[in-house]
Parts: sequence; C-alpha cells; structure tokens
Amino acid sequence: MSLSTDQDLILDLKSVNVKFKVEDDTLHILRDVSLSIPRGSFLCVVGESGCGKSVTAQAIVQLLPDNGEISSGDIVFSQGDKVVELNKLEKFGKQMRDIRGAKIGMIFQDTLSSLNPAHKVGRQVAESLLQHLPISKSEARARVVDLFRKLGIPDPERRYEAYPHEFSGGMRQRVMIAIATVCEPDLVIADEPTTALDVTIQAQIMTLLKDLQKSAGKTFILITHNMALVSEVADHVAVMYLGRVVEYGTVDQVLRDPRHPYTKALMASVPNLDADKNVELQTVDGQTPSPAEVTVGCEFAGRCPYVVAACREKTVEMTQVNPGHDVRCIRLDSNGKLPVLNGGA
Amino acid sequence: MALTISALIFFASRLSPIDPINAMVPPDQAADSANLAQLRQELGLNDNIILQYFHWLKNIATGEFGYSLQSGQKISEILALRMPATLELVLSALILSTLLALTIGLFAGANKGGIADKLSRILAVVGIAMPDFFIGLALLNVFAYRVSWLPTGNRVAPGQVTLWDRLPNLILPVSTLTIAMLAVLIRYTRNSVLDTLNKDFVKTARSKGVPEWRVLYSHVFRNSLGPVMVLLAFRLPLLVGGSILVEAVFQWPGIGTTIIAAVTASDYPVIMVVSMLIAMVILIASFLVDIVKSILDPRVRLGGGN
Repeated sequence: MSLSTDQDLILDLKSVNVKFKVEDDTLHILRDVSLSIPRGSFLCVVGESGCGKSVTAQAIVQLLPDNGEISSGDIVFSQGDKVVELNKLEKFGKQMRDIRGAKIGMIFQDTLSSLNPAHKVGRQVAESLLQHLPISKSEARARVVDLFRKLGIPDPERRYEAYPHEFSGGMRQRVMIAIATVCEPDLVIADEPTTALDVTIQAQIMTLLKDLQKSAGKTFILITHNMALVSEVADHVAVMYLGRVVEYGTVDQVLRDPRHPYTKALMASVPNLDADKNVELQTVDGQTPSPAEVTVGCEFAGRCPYVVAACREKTVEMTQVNPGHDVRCIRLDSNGKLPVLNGGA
Repeated sequence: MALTISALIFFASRLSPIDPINAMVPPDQAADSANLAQLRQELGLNDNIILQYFHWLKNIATGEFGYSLQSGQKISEILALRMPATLELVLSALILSTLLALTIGLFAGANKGGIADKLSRILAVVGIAMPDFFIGLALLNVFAYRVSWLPTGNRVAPGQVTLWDRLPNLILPVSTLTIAMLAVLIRYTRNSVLDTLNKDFVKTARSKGVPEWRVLYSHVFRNSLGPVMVLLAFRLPLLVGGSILVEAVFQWPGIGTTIIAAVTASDYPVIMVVSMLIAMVILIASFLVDIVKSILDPRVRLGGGN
C-alpha cells in the first residue's frame, strides 16, 4: 500500500492492536493492522470467520464489546481540515458520539436483530437525524420518507409506521442503509450487509451501496467473505488472516494476481461456473488456529504449502511487490513471486 | 378457564369429610337429628351434587354469594367490608415493588458489578431465602417492639380517618410484601436488562451516536420489560398467598384473615367464594399483563401489521 501521505486519506489505521479479555486469558485479536483508506474509495476487507474483519470495523467506531480494547495504535479520521484520532476519544463521550452516525455510518449484518423490534422503523431512522441535526420531528420525518423512496422502499409514507418484523430481509437491510446514511456521513462501514440475504437481493443491495458511493462520493468499507461481491464493487481489497492484513492492493492486483499463499488459496476456493466439473474445488487445508496459539512468526505458517523454517521465527513484515500492492510473506523472491512448488499443491 | 376453576373449587370443598353442619350448630343442639335433617334440606345439602354445583354457579354468576354458615352474614357484605383492606395492601405492594424493582434492576443491569448490582444481590438473597411471614415478624420485632416507630398491626386505630392517618399502619405489612416480591423481580429485571444490552440493536443505537442514557431508556428498558411482565403475572398468586400470611401476622382485617377464619370453622360457602374471587383476580391480572405486553412489543399484537 502506498504509505505516502500525498493522498487524501479519510481514514488511516496505524498498527492497531486490539486485545480481548476472555476469562483469565488475553487474546490478541488485531495485530498491527494498518490500513490507509483514500477518500471516495470502496475498500473490501475479506477473510474467513474470526480473522478480525468485524473487530476492525468495531474498533474504528469504538464499539468493541465490553471485554475488548484497543491496546495500541492510532486510528486517524480526517474530515477535510479536521483530523481526529478516534482511539483517543472517550468511548461514549460527546466527541465520539458526534462522529458516530453523523460522520461514520454503520450497517450491520443481521437486520432483524439489529433493528429495535419495539420501535417503528421510521422513528429508528429519524433518531439519527434528530440526534445530529437541529431539525424538527416533521422535517426529520419528511427526510426519512424521502430517503426510503430513494432506497427503493415502496410506499414509504406507510412503511415509515411499520415495525421491523413486518419487513422482508431485503427491505430491512434498506432500512439499515437508511439509518447509516441518513445523516450523509463521509464514511460508511458495512459489516457483511448481505450475508443474511438471498442472492438476487444481495445484488440489489450491493448496487445500492455502489451507487451511493459513486453519486454521493462517500467512502465505503465493506466487510465480507464473498469474493464474488468483492470483484463487483471494490476498488481496493485488504485480505486479513488471524488479526493481520496479509495482502493489500487494488482489486485487479489482489484478485487477478494474488501473491500471498493465503490469498491464492482463497481465490482457488471460489467456485467458478466455467470450471471443469471433474476438477475438485480447492479448499484451504487445515483449520484456522485460535489467536492464542500463534505467538511468533507468520500466522498462516501452519497451513501454508510454501512454509519454511524461517516463517516461524519472527513476525513477517509487509513488503511492496508493486506500487500499491503489499504482501506479508517472506517467501516472495525479488520479483515478488512465490517459488514454484514441487509436485504441485 | 373460570368454569374449570369453579368446578375444582366446588368439588374439592365437597370432598372434605367434615360436615359443615357440625361446625354450624352448637354441640348442645346437635343431638336433635330431626332439626339437623331439616337444616340440611333447607341448605340444599341433600340435592344431587351436580345439581348443587350448577345451583351454586348460577348464584355466583348473578352475584348471589349466599350466607356464611358461621355468622349467618351475607358473604357479599363480608367481602364489601374486607375487600378494600386487602386491595389496599396488595395493590400498594404490587405498585411499590414493581416500580422499585424496575428502577433498581435497570441500574443494576446497566452498571454490572456496581453498587446497585451488589445491593440487588443482597436483597435477592434475603428476599428469596426468607418466607413472607418471617420477614413480617422480623420487621415487627425491630420497628414495632424495639424502637416503637410503627404500630404492630391493625388497619385503623381510633381517631384515624384519612388514608394519611392510617399510613403508619400500612408501612410494615406493605414493606413485608414488597420485600418478598422485590427479590425475584429485581434479579429478573437486571438479567433481562443485561440480556437486552447484548442485543444487536443496542449496537445499532450506539452507532447512531445516541447518548448512553437514551440508549438505556429508549432501547434497552422497553425491550427488557416484556419478560418482567410475564414474571409479574406468575408472581401474582404468590403475592395474594403472601398477603394471607401477612394479614395474619399484622392482624389486618382483609380477605386473608377472613379465609383463615373460614377454614378454621369449615365455613364452606365463604371459602368457596373467596377462593373463586382470588382465582378471578389472578385470571384478570394475567389478562391485563397480556395487554401490557402487546403494548410493549408490537410483535405480539393481534392482527398487527400490513
């Protein structure tokens, strides 16, 4: 990734570490996560369950669970000339709250549990507006109805009065998007927004998000494990494995020319309609280790076909293989290529 | 539902081997079997038992509760006299314990491990471990005998006219019932609040930048109430049962003392009517709880939506 500062970054994560207390243990969930997100870009964070994608999102807005905390690192959020270090703000203090919802919108995965079952959906969207803008209830209502219409919720006047359980999954996700975007935040973080939806609805929702990014110039961080989605919408991709970013680059760089063994394995495991049915779909061998197990060396070493002894000796640093394309692997040669495996993997 | 209960109450009371006539007629007149037989006939005790049941049911339904075997008083008059005293006791305890439990429970849940949480834990142990009458006696011992701040019992003392005058008499019995109710309610409210705090929509509310007190009040509290209401409905019979004991401890002239006297004297008409009454109150209360639940949670509303 280009660490140069001449780019207009909306969000810059600098070696963020997050630790969770679980009973008597401390789990190191995010390890030196650095991500620079240019204004107006669409970043996808991919990786398997438990790799820290969601925790990254929660850490940015300081909504980690009670037992989690940012132990070191900086999260720099810039709004034009105003630059704030989010991790320095008090979790539920006024400054942080003024950013949450107003400057950074969040979209969550499970729409049924993420909406308050006892409140009308319109009110839940308006709540955000009323919190951040000095407007009257009727103005807020008018804006919400307007937004519902734009987001393709039919009969928005009447649906304003409905409760979450009266909506379909796709419609509820539109309501969530309304909550996240009603205050026109600069940055929207969507944590697996389409996982609970069926495929046709997924496509609609993603188109909606992509349109929002293009038309309103918003920056999006999409957290997903759906590689097909990534190729559709993203311009940058960060691949995470066990709390670390292992590869970062543009969509073309990462998806068409993956360099990290994990990314390669991930791409090989994506089903392809044109593929020969007789060739078995590849899977990533082995299980994801628990964050408590890996202490030194490359996190992926235990499952990596390219592993050598040196991999387990010390923490692997990010290296640039191409401008804007960074990989965390010591097995790359001077051209940034992995060695050819004997016998094939 | 009400019919089933009425049948249960009626036939259960008839199962008892004790002959109500014996309790009614003074022993020195009991020898006259002709009189006894006549009395039996007059009271309808010789009829077919099914017939008796429907006769009784019809009377109850039309508000004709009959007469006490013991005193010959109209049961409706006894109730009119005793009912307000019990209502006063039970309703104050119900309102007080609910309000206190919800407030303390919310604070305890919101600040897990805080002062309110610790206090609630102590209260819960005390309230659950000790039976109602024991709490009553303990309170009596401390506040009435040792320091004499409050009267030992009775609802009205001479010269007391308004409710304000009678307040000191009310404090101890109401506190007893409240403490007994409070224990479980607080714990339950606290756990329900903790449960709700972990829900995803709380995270959504926080992601909107809403202040914590608003998150608690507007999102957490309301969604925690449903389960508490259900518990309240379940606890209500215990409250009524508790009030019988508490009335006995504090010589409170309510339905509780009435039923105790009636049971001692095998005064069946009174026992039956009072049991029926208590059952009806509990039925109505659980119905009210359902209504409150539907107000709180739109998902249980009938014919809701669209």
